[in-house]
Amino acid sequence: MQSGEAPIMKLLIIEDEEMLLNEIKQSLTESGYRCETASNFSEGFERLGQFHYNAVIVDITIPGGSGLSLIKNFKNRIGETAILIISAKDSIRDKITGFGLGADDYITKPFHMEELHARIFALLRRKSFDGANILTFGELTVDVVERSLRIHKIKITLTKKEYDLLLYLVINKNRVVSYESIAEHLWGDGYDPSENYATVHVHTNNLRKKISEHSKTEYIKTFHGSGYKWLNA
Amino acid sequence: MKLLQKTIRDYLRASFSILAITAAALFIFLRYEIVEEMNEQLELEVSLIIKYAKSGQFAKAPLMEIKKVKPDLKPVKIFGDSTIYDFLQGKYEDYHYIRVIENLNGDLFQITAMTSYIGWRQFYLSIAVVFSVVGLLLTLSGVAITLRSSKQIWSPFYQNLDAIRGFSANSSHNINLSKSNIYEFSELSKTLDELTERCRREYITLQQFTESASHEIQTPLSIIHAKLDRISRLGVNDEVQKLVVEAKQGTKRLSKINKRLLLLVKLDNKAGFEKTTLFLHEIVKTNIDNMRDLFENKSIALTLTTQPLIAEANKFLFETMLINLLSNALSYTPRGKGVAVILNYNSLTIVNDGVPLEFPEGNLFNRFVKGSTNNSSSGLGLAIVLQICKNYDWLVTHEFTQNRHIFRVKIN
Repeated sequence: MQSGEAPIMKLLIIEDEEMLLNEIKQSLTESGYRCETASNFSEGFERLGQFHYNAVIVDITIPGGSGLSLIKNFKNRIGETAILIISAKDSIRDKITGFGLGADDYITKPFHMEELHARIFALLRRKSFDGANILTFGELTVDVVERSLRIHKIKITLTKKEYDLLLYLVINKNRVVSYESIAEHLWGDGYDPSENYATVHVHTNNLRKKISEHSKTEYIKTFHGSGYKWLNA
Repeated sequence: MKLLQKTIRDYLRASFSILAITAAALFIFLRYEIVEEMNEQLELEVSLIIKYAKSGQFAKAPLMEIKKVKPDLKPVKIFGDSTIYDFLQGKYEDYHYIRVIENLNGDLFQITAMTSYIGWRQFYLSIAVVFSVVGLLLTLSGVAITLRSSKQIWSPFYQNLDAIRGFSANSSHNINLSKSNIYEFSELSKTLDELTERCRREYITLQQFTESASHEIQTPLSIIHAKLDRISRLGVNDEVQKLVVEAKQGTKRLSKINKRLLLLVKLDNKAGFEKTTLFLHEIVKTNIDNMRDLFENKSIALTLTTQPLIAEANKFLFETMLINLLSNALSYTPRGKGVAVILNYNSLTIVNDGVPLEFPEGNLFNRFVKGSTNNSSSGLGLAIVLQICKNYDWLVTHEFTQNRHIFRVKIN
């Protein structure tokens, strides 16, 4: 998520599966990040040694070594870099080791691209205080620190879920965010897929209603059967 | 029966049998010798009497009798036992005698000579007493020696037994077996050492295999997922969009099953889940708050009653258990009915309105068992609950009364 004034964030993606690497790169580039890639340990090692990145997305299992040892090697040098581990193993041990080495977040394969965007946004905001705290869309202002929404400077009261949903949609602006990805983002494993995401619809409709009370613009577009899209004003 | 009891029992049996046989043999042998000796002595006496009688002197001696008998009797020599009243002691005493009918100068005489001996009963008794004392001493000393040396010899064995009882293939270090200078035990220790090491190695291989298999499955799933995501962004029509979403749901479901199976494998293997002090009432409240809207949306009245409860457990595992139970209640509670969550000082209870189970209750916590109303469920949620409870020695129970399912987890 890049707001107009904020500097362009530089990301390094270290992933050996080329097809996945390209998808991640393309998806993040579309969102305004400058992405560089490495597909094995030595490439990653080289890039980390030469350049500075705002965030590194690293797969644990890469040819030539482990993503974890890569973090370990650059632990001192990449203090301000946000590190997101990608792993196919939902392994608690890897998580603990990763966090111990200085990783900031952990995402398990397969993931929704929307979720990856949300995680990177949160990490970058936490690590580099470069003004991404206020997001502005026309008459809408989202304050990520205060967790609030203002329309024409009027504060709109949102429930926790409505705010989380809003931010998730906003971060993934101009992308169709699937119901499933929203449900997983809001409730983790707790939601029941058999209810056809009825609760997702309820929250979205409430959010829409609250926005429409103060704005005429339609920000949330429904894609029937698949998801919602935040339209950039 | 313990080995020691058995060896002592066998030892006692053998000792007593040997003692009884030797006592009997001794008795028979001694009796034979004594009788022989007495017979020789009595024969000598009788031959002297006869010698004197032939020369006309009929000697008179105690315990000896010579009398004339009818001439039609045949000369014989017999030995026998008899009793004679001992007027000094006032009781009958056992005697051994020889009776000879002999022709002395043309007349037949019966000569009887007797000698006293200790009665056979006393004889038995003496031998029995001596052998009993010997037997008792042998037994006591034997048992004492066996017990003492066994204690020494077997102590490494019992220590090793404890070590093996506490052994888990999952443990990170080798089993620590006690050394013994007994050849058999040191061989056993060596074999056990090798066996446990092999177990550990095979376990690690299996775990690596499971993780690798999971990895290998998750990565292609990620690629499928990412590609579907890309397709959905190509401006396809609603119909294609819907198909893509359904395909994505399928991959997510597959990945979820995969992850859950992996968790079950880890729980089965008692993988090291780090324990911390958990304030269960807070965790329950947070998770219920997070899921409350899901219940509300189904018009299910959700009530929560909590008492503070603190336990040592892994947060991820407790939350997984709780969420699985809540999801189960959410899935199987009919619209408009109620769910109650009660956390008291030693248990977590989740009560939900519902219909009776469609399958035997015994299958409820089995893997891949699910009701027909919830097809999208993995059927692993309750199996995971059971396995997490087993991991902490918590008891999970289910009962169905008055159209209510009651799941209770006793937390120690």
